[in-house]
Amino acid sequence: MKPYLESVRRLSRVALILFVLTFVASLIMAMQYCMRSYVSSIPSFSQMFLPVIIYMFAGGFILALDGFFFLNKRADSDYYHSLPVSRKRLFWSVTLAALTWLAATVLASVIVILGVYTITHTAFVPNYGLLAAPFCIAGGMLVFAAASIGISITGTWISNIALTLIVLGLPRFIQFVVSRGILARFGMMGWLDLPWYLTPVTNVATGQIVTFTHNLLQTQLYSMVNAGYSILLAALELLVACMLFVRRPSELAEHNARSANIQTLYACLLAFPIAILFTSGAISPTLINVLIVTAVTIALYAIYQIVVLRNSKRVLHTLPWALVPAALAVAMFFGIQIPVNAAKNDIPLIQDVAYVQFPGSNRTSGNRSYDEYLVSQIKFTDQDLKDYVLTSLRDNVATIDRYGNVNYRTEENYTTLEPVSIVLNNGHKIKRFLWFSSSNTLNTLRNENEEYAKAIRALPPEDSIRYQQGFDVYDAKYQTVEPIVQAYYSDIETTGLIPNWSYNQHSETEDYSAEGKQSFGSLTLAGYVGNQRYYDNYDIRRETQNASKAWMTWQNSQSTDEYFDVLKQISAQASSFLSKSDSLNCTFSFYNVPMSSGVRQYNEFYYGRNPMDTTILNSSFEPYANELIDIISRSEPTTDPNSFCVFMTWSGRAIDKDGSYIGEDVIKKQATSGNSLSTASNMLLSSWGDVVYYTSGGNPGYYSNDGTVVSFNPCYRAFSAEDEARVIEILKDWKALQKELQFNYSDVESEDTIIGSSALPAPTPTPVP
Amino acid sequence: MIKARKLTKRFGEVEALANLNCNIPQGCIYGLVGANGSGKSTFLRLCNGIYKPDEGNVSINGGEVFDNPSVKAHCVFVPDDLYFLPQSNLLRMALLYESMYPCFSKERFHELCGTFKLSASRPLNTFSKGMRRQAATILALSAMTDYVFFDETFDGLDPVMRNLVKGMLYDDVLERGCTAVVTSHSLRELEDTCDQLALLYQGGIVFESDVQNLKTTLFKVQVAFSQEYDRSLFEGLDLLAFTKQGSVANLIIRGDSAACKTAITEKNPLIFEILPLTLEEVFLYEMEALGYSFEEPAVKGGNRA
Repeated sequence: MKPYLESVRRLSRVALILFVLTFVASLIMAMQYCMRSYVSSIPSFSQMFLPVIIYMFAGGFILALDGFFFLNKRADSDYYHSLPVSRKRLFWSVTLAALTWLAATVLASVIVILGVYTITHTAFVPNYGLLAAPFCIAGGMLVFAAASIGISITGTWISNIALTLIVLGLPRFIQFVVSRGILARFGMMGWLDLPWYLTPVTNVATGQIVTFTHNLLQTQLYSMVNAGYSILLAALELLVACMLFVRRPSELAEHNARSANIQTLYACLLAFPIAILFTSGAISPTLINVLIVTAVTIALYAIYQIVVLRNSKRVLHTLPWALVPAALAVAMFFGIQIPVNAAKNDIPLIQDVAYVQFPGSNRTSGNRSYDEYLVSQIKFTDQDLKDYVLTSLRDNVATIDRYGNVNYRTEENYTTLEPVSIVLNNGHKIKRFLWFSSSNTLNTLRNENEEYAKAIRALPPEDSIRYQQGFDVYDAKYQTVEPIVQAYYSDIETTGLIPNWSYNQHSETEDYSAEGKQSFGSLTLAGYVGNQRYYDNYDIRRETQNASKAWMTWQNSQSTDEYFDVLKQISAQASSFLSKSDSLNCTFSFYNVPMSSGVRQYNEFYYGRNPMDTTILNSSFEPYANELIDIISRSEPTTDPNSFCVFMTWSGRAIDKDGSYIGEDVIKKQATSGNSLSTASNMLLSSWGDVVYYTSGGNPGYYSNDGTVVSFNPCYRAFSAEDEARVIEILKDWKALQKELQFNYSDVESEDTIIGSSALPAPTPTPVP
Repeated sequence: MIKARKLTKRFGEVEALANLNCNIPQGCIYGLVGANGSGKSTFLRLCNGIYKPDEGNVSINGGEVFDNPSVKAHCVFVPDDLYFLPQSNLLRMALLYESMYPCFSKERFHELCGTFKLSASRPLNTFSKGMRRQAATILALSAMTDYVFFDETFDGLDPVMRNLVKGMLYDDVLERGCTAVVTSHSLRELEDTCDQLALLYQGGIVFESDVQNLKTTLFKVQVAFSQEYDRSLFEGLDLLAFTKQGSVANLIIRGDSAACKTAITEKNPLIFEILPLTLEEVFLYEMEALGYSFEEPAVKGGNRA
C-alpha cells in the first residue's frame, strides 16, 4: 500500500494539473452547449464528452511518462531499482496510482458534464452518461498500457514516443489499411460492413482517432462492448508491460534499445506504415507515387536511425534493412486481393439464408430517422424478398466484375442503393451495399412483413421527443408548437400515410406540388430511444389536414411583420428607384391554385426589381405584381389548408425623394425590437444591429440591417370570392407573359396543364391502406 | 555478510566485473578503491540489486539481492549521481524513504538535519552539490538499514562534513552493527575510515586486507652501513622492495617490526630508522609484490562504472 500511496503522491504534481484542466474544460464546454439558445438535436457522445475524450489520450500518455520517468535516466533508474520494492510491485504501484488519477479525473469530469446537462434540462442520451466513464477510462488505460510497454523497452524520450506510437497504433493501422484496401477494391461494402476483426473501432483509443476522419464509425465506436473489450485488452497489455518492466535491465536508461538489432527493428516498424499506404488504396501505385512513397519510407527510417544512433556510418550500415518493410508492403499489396476475392465470392444459396435486414441508408449517422431505425431492427424471412436480395447481390457482383464498379444504374428510375445484412443459418453475416433495380419492388416485398408496414408508418414515441422545431420540451415556447405535433400524429394515425419518401411507392406521374402533396412547412422532431438518437423531418402536406391547419395557425400567430404600407410605397417606386442599392424582391406562394386538369396545385411567382436590371422581364410583371400586392394587402389570414391562399414574403429597400429610407420606422423597429425573437437574436440585435426573422420552416435566420425592410414571416392569406377570381386571372396572365417572354421560373405548368378559372371541389383525405 | 561469488557483469562488449569474489563481514567499514572504470560502482549496483549479474551471484545475509525486497530492505545506496524527486525538499524525500524503508526513523532524520544544519523544507534544487550529498547521506542514514553503500560520497564533501559523516558511520557501525561499503578512487580518503580495504582492478579484486594489519605488517626502513652491501645482506627478512643510493638504502619489509629491528641492529648499521608508510604506499608495494603494474592506464572496466 505504501508504494502505491507514494506513487499517487508522486504523480499528483502532473495529474492534478490534468485534472483541473479537464474538469474546467468539461464544465465550460457543457455550459456553452447547454446555454446555447438554439439547440435542435440531441448531442452526440463526442459532443458531450470531448474534453474527457482528449484527456483519455493526453492523460494516459502523460501519466505513463511521468509515472515511469525514472526509466529514462540512469541515476533515477538506479535509484528506483535500489529501493526495497520488487519490480513487479513497483510497476503495479505506479500503474494503479496512474489509473486512480485517470479514473478520478474521468469520473469527476463526466459527473460535472452530466450535472450541467441535468441542471439546465438539456436533453441527452442517458446511456451516454453510463458509458462515458468506462469508455474514457478504457481508452486512457489503453494509451497508458501502450506507453508503459514503449517505455519499458526503451530508455529515451524519443524512443518512448516512437514505441508508444508503434504499440498503440501500428497493429490498428495495419488493420485499418487492410480494411480500407478491401473497401477500395470492393465497392459493395462500407466501413460498417466489415467483420468484427477488421472493424477499426473495437479498440476505443485508436477507434476514437479513426472517427476523427471517419465520422460514420461513431455509430459503432461508442458501445459498452468496445469499452469492455478495450479494458480487457488494456489489462493484457499491462501484464505484458509488467513482464517487460521486470525484465528490463536498469542500464537501458539513456539508451534507445537493448541492442543495435532491436533498434533497427524499431526503425523498420516506424517506416512500415508509410510503406503500406498503397495497400490501403489511398494512393494509386503509379511510378511517381511508388518513388515518392519509397523515398519517404527510407527517409523516415533513416531519420529515426540518425536521431537515435547519431552515427551516420552505423545508419548507412543498417540502411539495407529498410527494404524489409518495403518487401512486406509489396506482399501486403498483392495479398489484399485474397480477402477481396473471398468477399466477392461470398454469395449464399437461398436455403442457407436465415433472414435479411436493412440497416438503412442513414445508418452511418448517429442521428437517423426513427422509422429507419425501426426498419433496421426487422428480420425479413420472406422467400421472395430473400430471392430478390440474392439476385441483386449476384447482379451487383457481376457488374463489378464487368465494369469495376456498381454505379451503373444511375440513369434508371427508382433504383435504390441500400445496405443489406444477409444472415445465414450458421450465423455468418454478409453485409453489402446493394443496388436494387426497383425501389418499388423492394418496398412491395418488404411490405409483406407486418412489422415493416407498421415501422414505416411509425412516429417517435411522444415521450421520447426532446426538441421540436428547435424548441426544448422544457421551454415554455414548446407549448406554442406542440399542437402541430399532436395534429401530425393524429393525422398519420388516421390516414396511415408513410411519412418517409423512400418507403413510398413511386410513379412517373407523382407530383409533389399538387393536391394533398402541397407542402406548407415541415416538422422537426429530435430525441432518443435507448442509445439511438433520432432526428426526423416531416413535410406538413395538405394531406395531413389537421397538421396543416395547426401549422398555418402557428405561422399566422408568429406573423408580425407584413408591412403592406411600406411594400406598396416601395413597389410604387420600383420603376424609378433613386439609389442603385434599392431593390424589391417578392415571392408569392399560392396554394390550391385551380388547374385546367382539375387538380389544385402549388404555384410560386417571383417578382424582383433593382435599378441595375435593364431587361424588360421583371418590369413586364410590374402591373400584375402591384395589383397582387394590393389585393393581398386587403386579404384575410386563413388557417384552411384547402383554401386558395397565398404566403407572400418580401424584402425591399428604397430611398424616398427626401433622402430618407421608405419605412424608416420599420427599419428602426427591426433593428431594436426583440419581438418574438430568440435569445440569440437579441444578442445579435444588441451587438451587431442585425435582424433575426423566422422562415416558413420556423427556423430563425439573420439579416444584416442595411436599410432593407424584410417581411419573411407573414400570414397565410385567403381572398374574397371577387378577389380570388381576379387573382386567378392575374396568375393566368402572369403565366402567359412568362411563356411569351420565355421565362421559366416555375416549371409546375406544362403544356397540358394551365391555371384554370373555376373553383374546384375540396380535396378528399388520403384513404388508410 | 555480503558474499560475491564469480560475480560477472557485462555491458555489451565491455566486461565491467569478471569473476569477482569477496566477503564483506558484518559490522565493518569496507573500502573499495580502484581507478575510474575499475568496476566499483558496478559492484555496488550489483550489491543493491540494481543490476542483475550476468554470471555468479551476490548475496546479503545468505539471500540473493536482485529483485528481492526482503534483502534490499536491509540496504541503502547513496550513488555518485544523486536522485531526488523533481521540485522536492528533504521532507518530501523523507516521505518517499519512509514509504519504502521499514526502519526509517523520522527522529533520526530530523536530528541529522539539525546536525548538518540543512533546512528540510528548502527545495533541494536550490542546494549546492555538497549540500545535496549531505541530504542524500541524511536520508540514507535515517533509513536505519544494516548495510549502507556509499559510492564516492566523500568526494563531494568539505573536510568538516566529511569528518561529520565519518563520525556518524563509526557510530552506526559501533552502535547498530551496521556495515558500510564505501568506494573511492582515492585511497587517502579511506585509509583513516575503513576497517578493510580492497583494490579493484580490471573488474576484479586484486588485493584485500585489514587496514590495521596492513599498516603494522609493512614498514619502510632507511639504513646505511660502513661497508659495501647489497640486497643479500637482508636475507631472512620478507623484503618487498630494495633501493640503494650511495651507502643509504631504503627497504620495504613485511613482518614483525620488533624482530626486524633486532635483525638489522645486529648488522651494526651506521644509520637505522623505521619510517611509517602511507596506506597508498603500502598498497602500491603489495600490488607490485603481486605482480600488478599500474603504469598503464586501466582499459578494462567499462564505461558504466
